[in-house]
Amino acid sequence: MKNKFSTYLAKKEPLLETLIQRLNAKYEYASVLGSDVHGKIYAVNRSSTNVGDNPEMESGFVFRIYHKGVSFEYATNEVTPKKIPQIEKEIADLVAHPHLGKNVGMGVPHEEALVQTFVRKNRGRDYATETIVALLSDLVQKTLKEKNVVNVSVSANFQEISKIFISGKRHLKQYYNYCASSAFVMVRDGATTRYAYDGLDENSLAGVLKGLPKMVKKTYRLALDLLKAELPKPGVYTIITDPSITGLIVHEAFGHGVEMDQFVKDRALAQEYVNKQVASPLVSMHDGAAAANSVASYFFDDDGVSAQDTLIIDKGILKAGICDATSALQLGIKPTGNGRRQIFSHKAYTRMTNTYFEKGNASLDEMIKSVKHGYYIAKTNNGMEDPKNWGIQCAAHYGREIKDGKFTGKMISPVVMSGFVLDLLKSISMVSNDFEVSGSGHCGKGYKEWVRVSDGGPSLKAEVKIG
Amino acid sequence: MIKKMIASLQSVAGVTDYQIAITEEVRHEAYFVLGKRETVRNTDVTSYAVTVFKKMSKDGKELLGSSTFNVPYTLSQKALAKKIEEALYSASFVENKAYEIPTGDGKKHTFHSPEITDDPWKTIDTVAEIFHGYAKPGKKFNALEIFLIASKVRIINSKGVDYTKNSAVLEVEAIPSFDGHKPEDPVNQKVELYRYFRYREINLDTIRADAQHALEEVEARFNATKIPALGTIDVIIKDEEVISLCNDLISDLSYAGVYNHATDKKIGDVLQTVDKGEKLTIGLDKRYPADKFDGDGVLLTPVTVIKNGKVESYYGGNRFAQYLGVKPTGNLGGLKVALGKTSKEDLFKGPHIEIISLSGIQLDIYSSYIGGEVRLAYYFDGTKKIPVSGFSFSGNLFKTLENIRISQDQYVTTTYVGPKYIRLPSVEVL
Repeated sequence: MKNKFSTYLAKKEPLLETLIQRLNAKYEYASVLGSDVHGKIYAVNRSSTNVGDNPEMESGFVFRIYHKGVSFEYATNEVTPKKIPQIEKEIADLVAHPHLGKNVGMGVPHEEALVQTFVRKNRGRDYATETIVALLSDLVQKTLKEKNVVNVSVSANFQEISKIFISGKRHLKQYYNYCASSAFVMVRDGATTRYAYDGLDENSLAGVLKGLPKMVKKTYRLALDLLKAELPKPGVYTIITDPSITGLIVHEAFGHGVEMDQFVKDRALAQEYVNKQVASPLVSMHDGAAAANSVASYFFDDDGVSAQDTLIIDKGILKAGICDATSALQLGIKPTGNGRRQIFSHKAYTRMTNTYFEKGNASLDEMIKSVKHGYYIAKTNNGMEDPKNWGIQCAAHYGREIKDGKFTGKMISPVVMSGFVLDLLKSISMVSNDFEVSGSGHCGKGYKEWVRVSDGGPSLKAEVKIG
Repeated sequence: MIKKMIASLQSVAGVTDYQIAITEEVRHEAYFVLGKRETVRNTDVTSYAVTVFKKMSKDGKELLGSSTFNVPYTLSQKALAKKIEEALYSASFVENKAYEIPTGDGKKHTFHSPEITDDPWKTIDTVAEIFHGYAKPGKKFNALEIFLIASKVRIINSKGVDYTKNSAVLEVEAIPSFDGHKPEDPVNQKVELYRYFRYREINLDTIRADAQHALEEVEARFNATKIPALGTIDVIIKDEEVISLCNDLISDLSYAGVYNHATDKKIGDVLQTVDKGEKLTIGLDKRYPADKFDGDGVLLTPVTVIKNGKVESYYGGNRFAQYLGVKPTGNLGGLKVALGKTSKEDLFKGPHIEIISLSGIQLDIYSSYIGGEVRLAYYFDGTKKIPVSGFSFSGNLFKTLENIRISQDQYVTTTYVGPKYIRLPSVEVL
């Protein structure tokens, strides 16, 4: 790991400054975001080893112009003195083209002046490639010898993110990194094949590597348990969620619905519920790059707006949404530092970062004991938002049956939960006093624009339809 | 840049073979909010992915290591050489069983799909006018994103492969929305659906039909009522859900899946065990003239994976094909499914639910699960058809496949040619 701001971007800084000055003289507002993201991935399974650049790496520049009520953007992966005239011409052509139809007519950002560099270094020591490959290979070979195992995949990766944002008033630089590891174990008993998976993430390569052996063992044991899992019998059940499922609910059920670019498009029912009750009084919800230290914890967003911690639901009452810069201009509000791009060449949308419910007062043990018949639902699989009509679909990998306050040993898999958002959030009757936020997955906007997010919180007790 | 890369790769000792993948993408994009233009974007991005291969032996076994690095901007010869040496070092710890990279004839081959426009902004304006042209008060596209993407992909390797493909696609993300008056259901006064269209050729009639149909469907969602308690009923899935189902049914039958024991299915194994319903035939194909090769430089060969409900063949790329001792089909992007025998009239006979929009179909071939949350469907009770929403369905995937009906009607997308509908018997509705 280099553990420092990109020298490539640092070299481009004077050129970018000059170009932004010239563009600001010509247009109402001009800014540039430069990204240089590097990283490595290490992966081993029963037949393959892979060591290479992290496929999520990116490097390039996006120029943004607000002019005559529209946002214009030009993205390219190279800025050199020789290429400057071409970039200026591309932008000029884009702005001057007689596009048909009406414009939304937004103004320009009112930015506060700020010149600052932010750095968050990796915690712990660095590791040589051979050390990481040896650790992963050893875990795979040992696990392959266990009963019923047919395949094991173990991986670790890191990303080093350097970004520079320059506008008329702001000159920001940030360096941060995050690391993740994952395990996947497939087992077979006769004609029954099942699998389990898990992931770790933190701002420390040492941390995610150290946690791998325990995680692989746990994943293997879960896969074995799942050999006996049955399909769920459709019905409405009392559930206790693990923190990953709490995260899935907070993210899919409510998080997407308070992304305020959806307010602009009249796509969010939430805009009619501000200052109204949307959840049980036990529920308070946050989102923000500054709200937790996880994979989506940056210092400024892709609009050059400082990271924040937004209180979205306060004791069951919807207080605020999250917003990118372009949507904030149209709504006449301040952005919340949630403007994110999949990579530099994609558009910035309002996106979640670290999203969670606050912890409560109950112990997990108490919560399980309170269930007459239901399931402990665990391990996020996927989910889908419905911001306008608040339908909900959250898929978990498995559930453990609880009867009369005790686990019966029976399991169901997969678990697809559905229903109406308000019914689910208002049904929350207990919130645990523990708390975990994790982020080994990606979030899409519709079916595209994937960004790393984290989510979680405490365990919840709620009523939900499983089927 | 490419000549410089090849010279560097040839100059670094220890590189047995190499591959360079170059992707050039030019995008024109327009974003509309409530019918007005919000953002206009133009991107021009080129990326290079370089893979170095290193032959090794250990304990008498022949091995091939490899490692890939990306070159997003111009590098000096010295910086390139350093990147290659680092990748070579990484490759030395990749102890994969030996295989050969694909061979070519040393000549440059270029494959083209038809160009879809020579005036991107005019095309975008035309498409936007079509979608917004159908807008009426309360029935419109609240959000519309239009992308014109022209791409050029070139694969070069040290064994004489030099293939280029040029292709273009028009993509439209549309949010049809309906605002009405429904005092009994305040949450659903305004409803929407999510639609994503991909076009590899511009046929304005097709685009018009898609836009119109999307608005008709969202109006149906507004008019949808709660579904009555039904227990089990036949469910008809269509379009994207049929594609998801067929993709999942062959997902474990790749050479990599077989070699890594992700499947225990053998050639000839029967997937639809009861000899009643119609049998699925699912293959992989090239969809467009430019689709001749994959990312490893393997020339593509169409393959039938499931034939009449039985495993007919496996499929996949270069490396795992060699491990299994078979010819690679290449990684094909087109799904081809044989049409069924059932007419639309027969398929829609008797009580059933026709799914129009799901939150996303949920499939698990290992647990044998199929299900999902339904945003819009039509319920036919045997006499009348009504729009319904706010429920979910689920069933045992392989059990329900035993007795399916497959439509004669065809559905065609940029990645699929096959039946439009499949009728799944006796699925639980809640």
